[in-house]
Amino acid sequence: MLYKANNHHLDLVAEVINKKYQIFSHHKNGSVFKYQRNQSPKNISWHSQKSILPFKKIIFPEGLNLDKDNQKVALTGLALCDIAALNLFLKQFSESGIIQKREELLIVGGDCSPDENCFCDQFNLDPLLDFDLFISKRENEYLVYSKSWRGENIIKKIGLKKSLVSFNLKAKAKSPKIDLELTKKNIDNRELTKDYWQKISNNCFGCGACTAVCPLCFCFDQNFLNSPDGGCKRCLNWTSCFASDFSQIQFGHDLRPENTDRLYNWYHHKFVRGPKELKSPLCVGCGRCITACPAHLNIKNIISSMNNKFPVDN
Amino acid sequence: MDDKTKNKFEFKNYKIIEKNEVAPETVVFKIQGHIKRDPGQFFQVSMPHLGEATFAPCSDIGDTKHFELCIRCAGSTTNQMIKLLPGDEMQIRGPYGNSWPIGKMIGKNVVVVAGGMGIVPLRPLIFELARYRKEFKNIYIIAGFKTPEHVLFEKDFLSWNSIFKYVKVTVEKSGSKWWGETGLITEILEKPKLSPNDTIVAMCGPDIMFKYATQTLLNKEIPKTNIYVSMERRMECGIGLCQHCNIGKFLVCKDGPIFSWQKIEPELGK
Repeated sequence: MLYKANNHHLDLVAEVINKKYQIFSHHKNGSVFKYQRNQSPKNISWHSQKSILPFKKIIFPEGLNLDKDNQKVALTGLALCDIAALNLFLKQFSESGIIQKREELLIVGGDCSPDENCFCDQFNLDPLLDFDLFISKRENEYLVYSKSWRGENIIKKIGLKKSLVSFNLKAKAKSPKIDLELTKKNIDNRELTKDYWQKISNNCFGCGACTAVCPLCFCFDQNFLNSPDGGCKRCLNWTSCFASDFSQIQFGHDLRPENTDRLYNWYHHKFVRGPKELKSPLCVGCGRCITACPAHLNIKNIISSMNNKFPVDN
Repeated sequence: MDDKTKNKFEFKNYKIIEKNEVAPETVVFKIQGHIKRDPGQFFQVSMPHLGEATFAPCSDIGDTKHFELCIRCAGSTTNQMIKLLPGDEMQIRGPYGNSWPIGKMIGKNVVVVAGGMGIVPLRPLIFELARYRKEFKNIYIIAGFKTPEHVLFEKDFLSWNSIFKYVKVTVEKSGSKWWGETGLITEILEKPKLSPNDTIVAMCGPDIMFKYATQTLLNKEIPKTNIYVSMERRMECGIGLCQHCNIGKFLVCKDGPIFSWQKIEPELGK
């Protein structure tokens, strides 16, 4: 259902949410945005910003303690790409019991302002847009779109009026067309694209920055956090498929010794293995990896030029 | 809501009751308890303060009171694990993964090929082949080790020799008291005549052995769909989450560890 609201109404929405959930939203920090907890329900920025690290640092923090209880969390100001990524993330971990379940999260979307690195329009995000509320600014008011009973319950408590204006959620980026099926086929054919990946990896530092910022990179190591009193806690640490020990087996034997093997594996996971496991590429076109890459590698250009080089259905 | 008991990383404690050094830096722990499993499946074993490692139990699945883990020092976690003593406890979760296709082996010749520690996940299969001997045609057991000192489960091979048609143990470098063959496992695999459409192969060992042994088998016209291999990859979780163990589009923990050569060969090197 669609409702109209003003600033005061949104403050009330925040207060209602705050009673049940820890609220997270975007906070300006110098020239960048961070996705952080709001200590109070006041001054929440409902508009989406592209934080350096996405929501994953909230629901799957580095050093995730396996013995902790999950908190109820409201993730606000999420752009469509992040909502889609969040739903894939939840799908990946849904059975594990280590992160919040969908019912322990309140997902609140917000308008975004795409930058030159965004390419969400290349992905079919619609089936992945499971959220509770979406808050969109119009000239003199806000539209609040509620998509779940959780969202409806919040609206009911405030008593918003329905809106009859037309409203649809659409990926806002305007990027050149990428053929995802061809991308998948080309990447899956390593023999064909071997030299291509070698060239790309020659320019890649192998630092793993792309994997840290990606909302859909969720590889982890399992470790123990030892304490001086002799205790230890099992925890999960973020890792990167670019890390030198990622594919190491007994006696230190590395099954992906070259950077080209690791880079290839990253793209293969995103566009071949991801669709097999979760029925969707593990990329939503947020462009964070492009912004983060110190070697200026650009996933959009890398895929497009690969497809230009190998245009035939192989 | 009790998430602690629901999370899939929960271990159970099992007591070690016996420990035997069976080869250099390799021990077999006999552990009290029973974990229902099929031959070829694996466990995650945790060493508190240190880490976790993946092992396939090596004992007979028919023993419902004990099971055995064969552990070789191969890294920081296993180096500590082999210091454990009878009376100590091990934290174990599992079983995970798929198992050897025993159903498909019924009425067929079965060839078991083990390279080094590769015998570990195959030993429970061999016990089943022995238990239900009449259900299968000829059974060939071929195992290779570095030296006679490295031979694992020597007594078993000697007893299997009286049950199965063809049991060969080979070492790369032999010594004066060595009773078996000398040479590479692929050389031994060349020898028996196998009927191509009537033979199922179960194989475990290093990747390099797969490369040559499958070639030998393919030369004998055994179809790729009848050759099964158990793959080793790094695993952190064992339940399809951590993404360390992929081979191309497959996760060894979830889709494997046992694959037909037909399925896994195109993914190797990806």
